[in-house]
Amino acid sequence: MSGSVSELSRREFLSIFNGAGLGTRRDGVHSNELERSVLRMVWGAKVIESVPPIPVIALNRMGFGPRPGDFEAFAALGDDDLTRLNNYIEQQLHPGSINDSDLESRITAEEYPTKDKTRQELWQEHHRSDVGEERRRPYQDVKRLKFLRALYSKRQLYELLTEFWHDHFNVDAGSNVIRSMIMYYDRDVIRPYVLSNFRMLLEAVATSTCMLDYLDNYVNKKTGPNENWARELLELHTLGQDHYYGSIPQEDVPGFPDAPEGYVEADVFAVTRCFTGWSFNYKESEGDTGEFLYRANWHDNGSKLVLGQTLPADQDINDPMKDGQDVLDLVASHPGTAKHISYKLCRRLIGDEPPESLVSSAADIFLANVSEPDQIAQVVRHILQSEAFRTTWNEKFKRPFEVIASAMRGVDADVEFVYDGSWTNKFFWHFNNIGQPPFYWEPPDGYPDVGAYWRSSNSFVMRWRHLIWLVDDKAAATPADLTADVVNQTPADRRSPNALADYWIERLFGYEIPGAERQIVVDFMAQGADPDVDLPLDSDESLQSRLRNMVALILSSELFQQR
Amino acid sequence: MPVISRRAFLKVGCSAAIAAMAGSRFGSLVFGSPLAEPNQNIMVVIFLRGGADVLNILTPLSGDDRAYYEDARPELKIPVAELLPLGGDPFGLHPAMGALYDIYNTGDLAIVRAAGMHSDTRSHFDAQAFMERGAPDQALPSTGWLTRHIETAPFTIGSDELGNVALETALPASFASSPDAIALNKFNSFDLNTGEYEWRDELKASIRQMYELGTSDSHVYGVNALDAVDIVTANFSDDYTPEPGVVYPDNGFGDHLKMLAQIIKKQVGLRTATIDLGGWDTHKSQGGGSTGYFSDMLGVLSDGLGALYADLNTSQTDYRGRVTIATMSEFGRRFVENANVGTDHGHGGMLMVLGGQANGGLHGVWPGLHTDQLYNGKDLAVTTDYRRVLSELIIRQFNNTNIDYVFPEYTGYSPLGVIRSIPETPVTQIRKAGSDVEITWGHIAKDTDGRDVDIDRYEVWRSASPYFDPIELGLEPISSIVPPGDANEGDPVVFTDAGVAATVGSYYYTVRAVGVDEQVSGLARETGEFTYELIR
Repeated sequence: MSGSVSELSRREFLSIFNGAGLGTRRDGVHSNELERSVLRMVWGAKVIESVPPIPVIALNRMGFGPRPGDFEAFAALGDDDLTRLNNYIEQQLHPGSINDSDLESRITAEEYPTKDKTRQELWQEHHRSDVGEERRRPYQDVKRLKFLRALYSKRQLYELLTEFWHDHFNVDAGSNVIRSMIMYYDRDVIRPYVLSNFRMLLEAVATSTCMLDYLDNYVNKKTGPNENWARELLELHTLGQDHYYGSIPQEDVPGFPDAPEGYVEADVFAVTRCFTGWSFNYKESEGDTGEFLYRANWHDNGSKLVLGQTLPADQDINDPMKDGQDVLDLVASHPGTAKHISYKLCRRLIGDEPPESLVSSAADIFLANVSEPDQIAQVVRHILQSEAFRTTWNEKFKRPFEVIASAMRGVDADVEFVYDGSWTNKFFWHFNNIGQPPFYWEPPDGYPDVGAYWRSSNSFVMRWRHLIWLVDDKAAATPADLTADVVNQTPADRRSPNALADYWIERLFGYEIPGAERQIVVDFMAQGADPDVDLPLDSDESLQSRLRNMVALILSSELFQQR
Repeated sequence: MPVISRRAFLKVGCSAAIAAMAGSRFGSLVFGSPLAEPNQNIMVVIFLRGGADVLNILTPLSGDDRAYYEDARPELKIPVAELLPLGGDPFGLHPAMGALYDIYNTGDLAIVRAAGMHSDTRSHFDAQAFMERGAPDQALPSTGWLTRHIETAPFTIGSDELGNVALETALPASFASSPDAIALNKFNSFDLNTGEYEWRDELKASIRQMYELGTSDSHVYGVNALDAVDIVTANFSDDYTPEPGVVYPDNGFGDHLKMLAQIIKKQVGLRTATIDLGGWDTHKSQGGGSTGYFSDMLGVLSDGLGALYADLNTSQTDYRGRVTIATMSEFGRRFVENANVGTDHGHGGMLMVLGGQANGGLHGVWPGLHTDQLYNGKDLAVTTDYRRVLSELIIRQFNNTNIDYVFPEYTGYSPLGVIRSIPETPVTQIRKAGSDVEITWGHIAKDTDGRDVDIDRYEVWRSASPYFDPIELGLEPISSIVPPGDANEGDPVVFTDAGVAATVGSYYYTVRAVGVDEQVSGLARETGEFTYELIR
C-alpha cells in the first residue's frame, strides 16, 4: 500500500487494523492515536504492533529513554511484561533504594562548588557577590547537574518528575536573585518532595527565597498588598484556570460556602492579605541572610473569607503564619487542585490529551491521601499502572531536553560537563537554541508540555543541528573528540548497510520501525551499493563519517521525536 | 521588469490609440505569481507580554483625569512637563517614546486607546490565550487568529516563500497549529551544517524523505522547516547593515526587528510576521516618570520600532507603504499603583497601528478615569474590542472578509478607521473629440468600505507605451485635477488632453484618486466604447 494515505477513509483504516488481527481493546486511547498507529502499519513494508513493547514505553515515558543495558535490566524484573512493568514502577517509586553510584562518582569527579552550600551561603557568597561569575555560578552548576542526572541516574522517574515540579513551580533563573538561589531551590525545595506530599511541597515553595522573590510576595504587606503570588498560587499551582470564576461575588460560586468549586477575584485579594508578611531576610540591619522571614508587623490581621471559609481576625498574632498556612491547607485539599495536578501528571506521563476517566480516578487518589507522606507517589503509581499508560504511544512529542537526553543515552555518550569547558559551552549553545534553556522560562506557567508548542520549524532545525553535532561535530579533530563515537560502538560483525542500520535502529528504538523509514536509513548507508554486502568501514574514514551521519539520521527522524 | 507578464492591457483602436491600464492590485490578484512582490501588504503583530501599563504609555495631560491620575499614582506618575503632547489632545506619550512620537507627528501612527478584550479575566495565561486564539471567554480553538487568517486570506504561499514568520524560537498561540507559519529565531544557525561536510546534502535529503512519509503535524512541520532552511540559507545572514543612521536596540527584540527588515527587503513573499516583547508584568519597581525599568522597556519598544520604520525607507524603495505594524498586550494594569512602586493586573489596554497606511492619531472612545468610569471601579474600561482593530487590518490590507471565521462569535464589525480608507477606483471613459482626447470619470465620494471619503485631487498620467505603471516608473502626473468642494458622487470629472490627437501616435492614460489624507485609490482601467483588443 504505497498509495496516498490521505485517500484512505477512516473505515478503511479500521478494516486494515482489524484485518491485521490487532483489534485489541484500546480503552482511553485518543482516536487520532488509533488512526496514526494504523497509518504507520500501512506505510511500513510489514505490519508492526500498533504500540511499541512495554519496556520501550516504560523507559521512554518514565524517564529519558533507554541506555545500553536498560532493556536487559528491565527483562530481568519478572516473567512477563506486566509483572516487569509493575516491578519497575515500584523500583522507580522508591528512588532511595536504587543504587546510583555511577552518577554519584560522576558528580564527585567534577567541580560543583555550590552543590552543598546552604541557602544563606548561596545568598551571601553568590547573590551578594560583586563578581558576576560568582553570582551565576550556582545556576551553572545546577544546569550541568540536571543533564548529568538525566543522562546517568538510574532514578529516572525521580529525575523526570523533578523536572515536572520545576515546571509546575516555575522560577526564572534569568533573574538576579534566582540565578544564585536556584541551587537551593532545586535541592531543598523541589527534590525532597518530588514523590512525597503536595501540601509539604507547597509550603516549601511558598517559603522559598526563589518563589518569594519571583512572584513578589516578599514585599507583600498590609499597607501595600501585592497579589502576584496569591493569583498564581490559585491559578497555576493549585486550583487552576478551570476553577477561576472571574469577578462574580464569592457567594455566587457553586457550592459556596461549604465547598465552593472555584475561586474569584475576591479570593485572590483575600489570599493576598493572608500572605502579607511572608518574606525573606534581605536587609542589612537584619543580617541579610536570604532566609525565610515572617514579618509580623507587615501582616494584615483582619478577618478574611477564602474559598468559603472565614479566617478569624488576629489569628496570626498568637500563631504566626496561621492565615497563610490555612490557605495552603484549603487549596491543597481542594478537589480542583486534585484535578489540576492529576491532569498535569497524566499529561506528563501519558499524552497531551489524557483520558478524562484516568484524570478523575487519579484525583480521587490525590484527595484520599492529602495527609500521607507518599501522596504523590500514590497518584503516580495509579497513573503508571493504568491501561492508558501502557497502550498509548506517540501522544507526546519529545521536548528539547527529552530528545537530547534520550539521544545521548541511546548513543551512550560518556561526557563530563566541565565548568566553562569549551565542549560544555558549545553543548549548551546548541541546546539553548532549541528553545528550552534549563530553568529559563520567564512567565510562571513553566515550559509548555504539549507537542503543539514544540513542533515549530525553529525547534526542528535546532534539534537536528544539535543531534548531528553530538555524533559528527565538524570541529572534532578525532573521533575521540566527539560526544559519542558511534563507529567504535558498532559491533565488528555488523558491516553491511542492512546490518548497520538494523543494529542502530534496534539499539535506539528497541522496536521494529516501519519498513519505509528503515529503508531510508539503509539507503543512506548504502548510497547505491548492495545493502547486503559488507562495507570496508574500518579502513575508510568516509564510510565512518557516513555511519555517524546514519545515526544522526535515525536520531533526527520523526519516529525518534515520539514518546 | 516582470510587470508586463502579469498584466493585461487594453489597446484602443483609433488614430490616437488610447488605453488605460489595470491597477497594480488587479495585477497581483489576477496574475498572482508565487512571488507577488512588490505589491503585497505585510502585517506585523507585536505582542507585549505581561500586561503593559498603558496609563503610563498614553497619559492624561490635563483635566479631571489628570487629577485622578496623579491621585492614583503618587510614585509612578509622569510629570506633565515630561510628557510628549499629542497635538491638541489632552494626552501625552511617555518621554521614552521619542521615536514613536516623531512617527505620530508624521501621521503614520494610530493609537487606539481603551482597547482590549471584553473579558473579566485578569490571568495572563487566560488573557493571552483568549486574545491570540481570537476567542475571548470561549472554549479555546486549537488554532490562532493568524492561523485562521492566513488559511482564508486570498493569497497562497509558495514553498519558495517565507510567507508567515514568527521571529521566535516557537510559534505564538496566534499562529497555533498553523502548517504555514515558520518559527525563526536567528538566521546564521538556521541550517543543518553542524556535521562534517561530506554527507551534509545526503543527510538533509534523507531527513526530508523521513518527514515526507507522513501527514501528521510533526511530519508537516518537519518538511516546512526544511523548506525554510533552504530559503534562509540562500538569502539571509545575521551580517546585515541597516540604512545609514539606523540603530536597532542591542537585544533580542532589536535582533528580531533587524531580521524582519531583511525579510521585507529581500522580497521573499512575506505576508504576516509576529515578534514578542516580554517583561511588562510590572508588579514592583516599575519606576516613575522618565526613568526606571518601565521607561527602559518603552525605550526599547519605541527605539526598535522607530529603527525598523526608518530602515524600511531605503534609497531604492519605500516599503513603509506596504507594512503595517500592530502592537497589543493581554490587558492593562490597575489604575491605582501598589505599594511596591508597581501595578497589578488591570483591564483596558491599547493598540498601536503603525505604517504608511495607518490613519494617524488617536482613535477610540476615552472612557475617563473617575471611579465611576473605571471597570469594576478599578481599571481602565474597554471601549474598543481588539478584534475590531485586527479585523480592519485583515479586511483592508488583505481583503480577507472571513471575520466570523477568524474571530468566532465576534459580531457587529465596522471599521474604526485605523487604516486610511481607500477611495474607490475611478471608472474612466475616453473619447476623441477632434484633435483632443477627453477622459471622463465619475466623482469619487466613497471608500472601498462604502464610507464617505473626501478627495483632494485626481492624478492623470499619459505614456506612449502601453506597458507603463506610473508609480513604479516614478512618473509625474501630466495633470492634477482638484474637484470642486461641492461635487457629488458621480458628477462627471473631465480631463481634456488638448491637441494631442493632431499627430499620429499612440497614447495611453491612467487616473487615480487621492484622498485628503494622501491615501490613493487603485489605478483606473479604461472601459469606454472604443473597440479594443487584448494584448499581452
